[in-house]
Amino acid sequence: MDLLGVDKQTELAVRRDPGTSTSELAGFLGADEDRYFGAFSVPRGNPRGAVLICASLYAEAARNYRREVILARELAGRGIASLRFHYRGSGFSDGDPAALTFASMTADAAEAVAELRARWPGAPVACVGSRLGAFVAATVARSEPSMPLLLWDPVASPKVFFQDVLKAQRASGMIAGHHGNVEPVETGPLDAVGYRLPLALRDSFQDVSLEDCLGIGARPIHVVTVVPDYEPSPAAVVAAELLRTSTGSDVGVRRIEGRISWWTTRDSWEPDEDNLPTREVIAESADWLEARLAKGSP
Amino acid sequence: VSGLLAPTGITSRNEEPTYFAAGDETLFGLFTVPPGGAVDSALVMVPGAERLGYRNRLGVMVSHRLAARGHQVFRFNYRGCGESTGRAGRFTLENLFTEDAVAAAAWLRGRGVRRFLYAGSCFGARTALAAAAEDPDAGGVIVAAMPISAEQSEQERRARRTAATPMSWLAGLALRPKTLRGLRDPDRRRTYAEAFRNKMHRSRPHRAASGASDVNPELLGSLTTVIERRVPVLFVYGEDDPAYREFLQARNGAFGRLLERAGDAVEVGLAPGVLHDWASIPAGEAAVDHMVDWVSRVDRPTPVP
Repeated sequence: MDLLGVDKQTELAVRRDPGTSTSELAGFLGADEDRYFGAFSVPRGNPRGAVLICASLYAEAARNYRREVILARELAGRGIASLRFHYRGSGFSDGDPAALTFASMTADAAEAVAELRARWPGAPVACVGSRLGAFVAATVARSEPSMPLLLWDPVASPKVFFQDVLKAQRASGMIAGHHGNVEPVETGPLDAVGYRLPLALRDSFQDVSLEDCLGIGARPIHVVTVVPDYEPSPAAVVAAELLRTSTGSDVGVRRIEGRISWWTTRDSWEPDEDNLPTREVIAESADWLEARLAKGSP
Repeated sequence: VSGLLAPTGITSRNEEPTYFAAGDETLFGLFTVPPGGAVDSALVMVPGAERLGYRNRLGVMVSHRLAARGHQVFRFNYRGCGESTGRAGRFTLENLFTEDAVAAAAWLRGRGVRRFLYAGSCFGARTALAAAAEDPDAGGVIVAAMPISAEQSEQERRARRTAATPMSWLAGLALRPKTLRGLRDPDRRRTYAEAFRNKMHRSRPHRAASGASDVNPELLGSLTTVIERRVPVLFVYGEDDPAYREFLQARNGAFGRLLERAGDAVEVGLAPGVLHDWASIPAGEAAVDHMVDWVSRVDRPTPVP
């Protein structure tokens, strides 16, 4: 049975798992009027490293949420702390959803990584980004030349994300009998399968590229993607090649056989804990992060 | 600007994150308290069969709008979802997560809450209704896009939809290049095979005659308990929701007689288009308006000393 309470200093909710000797602290962070929601997963004793996990947005964030939780708990069991967070204007966080932009996302991530460093000064830090969050994670990693960067199914270009949104909305319209009529994104916020996607968000990603986010210079980079075997050139593999060329890094790629529906809900989804591709993603990611963080800070 | 996005003055400063026990698992929740301080009632937002329970900050928007009007709201992640521990299993209507909703109410009791309103959508609606039926202190229930029929699983529902689709249309779909390419994917192969089996099975005469949907007996039992206690109930549907058609059909039988007996304790709110899955912003906004307006009328919170 977990031990539950509240951290008096931070007002974060606390859950201690005596079975694994790990803890989780969840709640609102930041000194601003608008705070952001975050969840720490913490090992017993001083962590051997710390990981910032940068999620994607909307349906993708929801689809990936549990996988990120499972990764965080796995890392805590291996002695590595982590922080997951919701961008301001999204999830449980404060903030105006209409003001969500690439700049605001990276600013929130910078604040979150500073929070990690303040809690565990001296611990080597790695960054994880999934799908659209890959651009945010790459921007965070740029601030430290040797910071390991792990990307889950990164999109090679933000356009892929916004195209997927439109496809999902068209499919949703057809299912609902509206023959796929979609309000053009140019006229205002897009109704992205029930998510309100502001025009400013799309515009803010207009000239953003993974290569520019990360800058030049070799660093440890690993890409993990869940994709069917028959897919000839998955977006994540294209992204890995771009990073290999632009940074000169030895970018590792692990293809895991499977398929993820990012924007559509399957009626019979199974828990991520029981999903074989997810278990492989977690094991591969935790192994890589553990090995990289064991090498310590630059 | 959407009414849902209008500033409410409520922020995370009005919210308390918490972990709470539900059987052997630990669930995560957020308790939103109005600026005037704690009151003796709360709306328990029971999650739907979504990974996080609520789409598009629905939980945040409902909580903040209601807190601005003096109401308390509690939202949480089911076991195996979001920040909670455990395994969710598959969401099926024969296995409601009532224990989690009951545990949420138990945590709220420890915070001085004595009267509970439950709200949920689809799977969450069935769970909310079941939890309200178990709770003698239930003061209201909101059920959005709630499936009425006796068909327990989404597979059964899908089978009925497939059976109702003309064979010529299905054949056209099956022969599309995209469908044929999809046969290389094992998941899709399984889905197509299931659809084919359903069509063949349901096309037999003894099943084809069945058009009307029966009311799920557990649902009918819970609703009877709630209505006999004079607990107010709000049904919310999208005008084009398949579940709304089930609701209208069901009004011809015992379900309808029950609603008649309830009189003005039962209200129905309609949203444009499809509300199910909350995959349309106009439908979602209209539904939230109904919910907020209804709670504002039904809930009479008193400050807790």
